[in-house]
Amino acid sequence: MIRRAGFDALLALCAGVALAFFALPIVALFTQVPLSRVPDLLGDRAVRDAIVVTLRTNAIANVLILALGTPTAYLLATRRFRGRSVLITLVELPLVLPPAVAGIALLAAFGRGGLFGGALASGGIVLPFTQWAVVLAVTFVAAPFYLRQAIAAFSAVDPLLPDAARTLGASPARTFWRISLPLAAGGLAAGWVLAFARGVGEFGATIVFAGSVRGQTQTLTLAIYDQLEANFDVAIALGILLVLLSATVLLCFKLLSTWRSSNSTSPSPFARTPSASA
Amino acid sequence: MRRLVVLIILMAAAAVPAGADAALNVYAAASLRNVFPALDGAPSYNFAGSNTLQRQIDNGAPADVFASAEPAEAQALFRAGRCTRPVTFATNILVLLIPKDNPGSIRSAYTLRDGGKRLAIGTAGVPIGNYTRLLLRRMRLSSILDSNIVSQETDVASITAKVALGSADAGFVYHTDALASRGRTSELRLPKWAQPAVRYKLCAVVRTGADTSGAQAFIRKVSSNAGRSALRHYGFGLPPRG
Amino acid sequence: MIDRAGFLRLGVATVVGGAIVPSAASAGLPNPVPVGDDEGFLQFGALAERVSLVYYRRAVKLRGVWSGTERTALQAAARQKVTHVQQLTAALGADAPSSDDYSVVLPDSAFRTRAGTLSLGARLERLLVGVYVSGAGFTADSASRLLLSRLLANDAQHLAALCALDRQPMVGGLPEPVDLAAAGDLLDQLLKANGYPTT
Repeated sequence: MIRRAGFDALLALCAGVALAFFALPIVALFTQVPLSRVPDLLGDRAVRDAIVVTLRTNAIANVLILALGTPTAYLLATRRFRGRSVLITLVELPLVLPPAVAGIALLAAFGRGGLFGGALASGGIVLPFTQWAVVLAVTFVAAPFYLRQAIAAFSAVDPLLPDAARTLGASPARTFWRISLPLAAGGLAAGWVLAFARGVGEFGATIVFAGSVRGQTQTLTLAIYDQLEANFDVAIALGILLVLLSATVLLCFKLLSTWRSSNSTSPSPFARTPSASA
Repeated sequence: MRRLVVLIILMAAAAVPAGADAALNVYAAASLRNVFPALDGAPSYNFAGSNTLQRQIDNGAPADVFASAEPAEAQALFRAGRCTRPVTFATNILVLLIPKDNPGSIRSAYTLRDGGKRLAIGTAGVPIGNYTRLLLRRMRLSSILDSNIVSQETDVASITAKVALGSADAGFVYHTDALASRGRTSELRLPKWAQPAVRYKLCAVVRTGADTSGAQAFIRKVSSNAGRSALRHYGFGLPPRG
Repeated sequence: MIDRAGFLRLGVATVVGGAIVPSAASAGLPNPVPVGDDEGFLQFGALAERVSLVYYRRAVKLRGVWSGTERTALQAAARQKVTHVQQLTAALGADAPSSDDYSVVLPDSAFRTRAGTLSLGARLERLLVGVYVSGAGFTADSASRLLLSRLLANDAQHLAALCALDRQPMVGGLPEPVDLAAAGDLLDQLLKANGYPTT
């Protein structure tokens, strides 16, 4: 009895320390500046520029991620071919790559002196210091988050259903659009939400590859770093904005996961199946 | 299971930061990143923008020596009682750095008046940034910061890297940085009369309970003949002796 | 028609008279607060006036060249230059150049003859006048513009006096604004920066 109470107390203590460690910095962020000042601070010209840059570059990047990533994930999830596992590892690589390394790698490929730099330059395209560089950096680091979830979501679709559609005469494209995609939609959305959050928070690859050009490549995270010296209060306000954004993203992710697990007709590791499928 | 727990505890113990470190901690401006290790390889160096380092020391970072690229940071720490009286140990000049193949076709700082070039400069708080803005005001070229695509970097090493890699068409750096990257870059001199007075300051950081003898020895080494000769070799100017 | 002696007396009187103008008249004038690129003209002025001051002090020391009144005029000019440097240093505030940063290097060959000395002096004054004309046109802060205009008026008088001493007619027509970049290149030849790197 006592041993169990002692064990429970130890668990509670560890949990308490861990929760306090995670909660305190977030709470401290909200106490450094009177919250009534935050909207004014966010009206600062540098902040507005940063918001515009972040929204524009992330919108384009997310469109690219969805447009290119969805077919890629479908291919990797549903077709079996030699080298499939190598390709899956390749698309997951940026997940474990330090962001600054991603930045240097992008420079080595697309910078002026890089592998494709000469070819791009002769076409009149110089990427560093432009918004397209930010788009590339965000896509590079955020796409794996989407791809991994998307592959899992497509794999979780019960293969009987697309097979049934094929036997009924649907083309592969129609099967994808009308069967696989809607069934995997919950998982895809959850993956996209993570990719979006990662993209908005990108710092290392952006600052190395795209530079910190106010109004062009200075995203919200780069603006925090810049404002740290100039105006600490603005940096705090930016932090609060991003915390609220991240919390919203996390909430969406949780809601989508719940929705998916209750809607899906496929056996999925997250779903609570009332009974085995027929 | 028990072995796993023991292993985790051992790893945690090994990761605990060591107590009083024997090596000296020198926090120095980024432009000193080549000359200081060549002069004395023993200390552990932290190179960054002088304003970043000042903020770290203000927040209690365990520095023993502070070397800043402009007097303001060292004097601010001295007034706050966090370091000894700063001494000038080196000078420098500003130059315009361009990649060796000069993709922007830049002949002088006045070419930047045409606009549309990629320019890398320091942020408004870092010494190289302050010096650059003063130089531009004197040359009446402040408008180039609006008419060109300007990336603001946190220290002079980042500016040099951006120019050396060809990401930027030009950057305002110190002459010593131009020497350090001369394989990939060329430097364009800027007028003498417009140059800001670049003064490097050295001081020993005062921390309760820490003894400053190692720091004083390092400062003596930098001010010695060997130190001055090393500084001259790397392209720094020297203040008059005494 | 004024004869040479009269012309000389006129020149000396202009310079000496200018020095005697009570500086109390300046007590009510606004302090210059340079805005942005205004600093360029003030910085150039601060260094070029210092070069001019060194010139006058060296010219005064030349033996067997000047008469008594001429030497007095040159000494008065040197004292005015000190005031100029003080005014410009005050206007620049914290960013003003100090004498520790620069030393002045004047060509020795110019000081061998009276004509050479006067010609060098006139060149310096002409440079200053040209830059001040440019400054009076393009300075944003009105108090700084006023200071540059007053310095311009003084240095034009010095130029006239030096030309008179050399029996040169003042060049007719309006003085042109001198491009700061070109003026700076000329000034650089006369300056040596202390602590300049040698590699």
